[in-house]
Amino acid sequence: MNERVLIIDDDELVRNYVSRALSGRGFTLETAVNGSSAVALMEKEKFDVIICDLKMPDIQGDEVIKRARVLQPGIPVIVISGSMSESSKAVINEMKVEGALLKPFGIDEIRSLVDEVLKKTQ
Amino acid sequence: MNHKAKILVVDDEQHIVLMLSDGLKQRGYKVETAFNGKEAVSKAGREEFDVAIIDIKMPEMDGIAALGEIKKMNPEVEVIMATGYGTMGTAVESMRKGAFDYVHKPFELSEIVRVVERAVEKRRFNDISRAIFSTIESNDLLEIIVNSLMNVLKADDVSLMLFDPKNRLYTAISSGASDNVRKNTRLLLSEKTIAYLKENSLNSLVLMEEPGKDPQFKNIATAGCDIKFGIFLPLTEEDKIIGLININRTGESEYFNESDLQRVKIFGSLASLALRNAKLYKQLQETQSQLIQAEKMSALGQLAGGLAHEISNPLSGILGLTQLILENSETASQNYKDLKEIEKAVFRCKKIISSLLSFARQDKFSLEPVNINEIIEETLVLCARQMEVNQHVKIVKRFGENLPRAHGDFQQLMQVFLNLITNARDVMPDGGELTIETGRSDENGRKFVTAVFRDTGPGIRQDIIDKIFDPFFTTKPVGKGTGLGLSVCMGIVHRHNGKIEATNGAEKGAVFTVSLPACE
Repeated sequence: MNERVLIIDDDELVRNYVSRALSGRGFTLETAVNGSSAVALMEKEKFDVIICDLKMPDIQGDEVIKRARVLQPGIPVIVISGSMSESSKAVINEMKVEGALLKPFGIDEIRSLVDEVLKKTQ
Repeated sequence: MNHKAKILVVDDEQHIVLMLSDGLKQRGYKVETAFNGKEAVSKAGREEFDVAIIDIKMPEMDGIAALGEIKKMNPEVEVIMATGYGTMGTAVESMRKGAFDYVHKPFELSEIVRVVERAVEKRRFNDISRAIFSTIESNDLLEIIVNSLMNVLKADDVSLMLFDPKNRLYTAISSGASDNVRKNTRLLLSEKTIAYLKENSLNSLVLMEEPGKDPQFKNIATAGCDIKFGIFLPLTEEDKIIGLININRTGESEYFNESDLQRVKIFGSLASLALRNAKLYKQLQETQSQLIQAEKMSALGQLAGGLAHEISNPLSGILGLTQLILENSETASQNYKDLKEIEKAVFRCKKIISSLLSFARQDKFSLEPVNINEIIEETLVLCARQMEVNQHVKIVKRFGENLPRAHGDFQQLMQVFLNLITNARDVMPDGGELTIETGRSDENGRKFVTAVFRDTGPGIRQDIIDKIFDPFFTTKPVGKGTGLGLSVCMGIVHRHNGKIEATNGAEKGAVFTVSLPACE
């Protein structure tokens, strides 16, 4: 227990409800408002799972995921995306991410996906 | 021009005016007179003449000046100049100023009548060619062609035949042939004529005399065939026969003469040219509207894609936060019920967004040879049982056998068919029948595989039939339809280089036809 979860999304609304959906479930939650602060956080701290938006103003999601994999090999990744366009699908396939959710998604969906991903990687 | 021509006679010598006026009136022309240039100009300003005969040498305003003034007011009028031997130079000048011809004084009446006849003839052809080229709409054009021929050639009936897309000759328009038996005889004779012309690689005019008595037409033109003399005038485009005009005199009418045939020949080339113009114009219009449609779809696709993406974050927030509050609400409370409604509303939005996205998807998709019957079967697995059991919609399959495969994306075509099937279900809430027929078709040498969906619902209202493929157009109640179903279908079918059409059935119900290019 007490897994560390990093939530990366440039939209405060999304960070807010995702972290509240996951709070009280024994996780330590951190949030990042964009790709670069997420990378900075990952350089300092170790996480058990990252939840990452794809379209962000500075560093795009796929780049963040690449860096995460270098900084913390084997870290499970859940992609949350506003569209399942061909380019998003390509990222999800190429990066071999552990899970993906299309916005809008509900709290139960993110909760069960996080649980499932953590269970698999333990 | 049905009426006898109207002629203005202008001369300062009264006896000449009288001679011409009487002589022309006797031949059925309408005649007005003037005794000097000024009077002539003022008369020509008040009414239109077909032809004017003007003396050159007159006091006050001379003939040349009058010619100029009259032509300015009415360029169509044909002017014949009467010149004395001393005024040959002015005769040449008047020709330059647009006179039709000139006659030397003194002249015989018969001499001037011949010139008048030619001038009237020219007027008629000018009028006809102007009429023919005045319209670019093919239906109006056909009517003008047929009516002009009826008038100019004093024909008893005229029919214009064209080829339909399946290359069968049909009567596009017909005048004077009063009943279907007559019309059919003319069509059959035209078919024969075209066959004959093609066999001999000709595209010249064909004449027929009393075909009813000709043994080679005995199966076509029965004894009752009333054609006395028929002209069959092929219409051509780049030496290819594209249709035919049949002009007949019947009963006791006179035979066509040499000058009639001359007129017909000129007429034929004018008509062919005008028809070609009309066809090109129509093609241009179609291409233009396709382009506009494609542009519209592409712009809308981009907009929709962007919109869907932008809206997904706030919507995600609404959904997530609503569910978080729901977790802490009493299930019996009004707040709980309201929040549940909000949650449902978000799911509705989510559905709209996913339709929008599938509509907007501009990316390439995989075309491979697919069996249209298989795709429909597969689609029916998703919905047929539910429709038959719950909605009492009977599904009748009439699948064509050994159909060629189509170039298609299996999944996307499933989506098209599913949309069409669920639409059919929605228009038959009290049950009915949906017939799905597959087959093949040929258009302009291109082969298509087709799927036709016929329902027994109320059909599509004429006033909206052009709009049903427009994005966001829906007749369903608020919340029941996004108005995107058919636009998505159209988008997908167009990306297949196929066609989707909506019509109403002969008896009732709507008919949707999807045509997809067949694999060679």
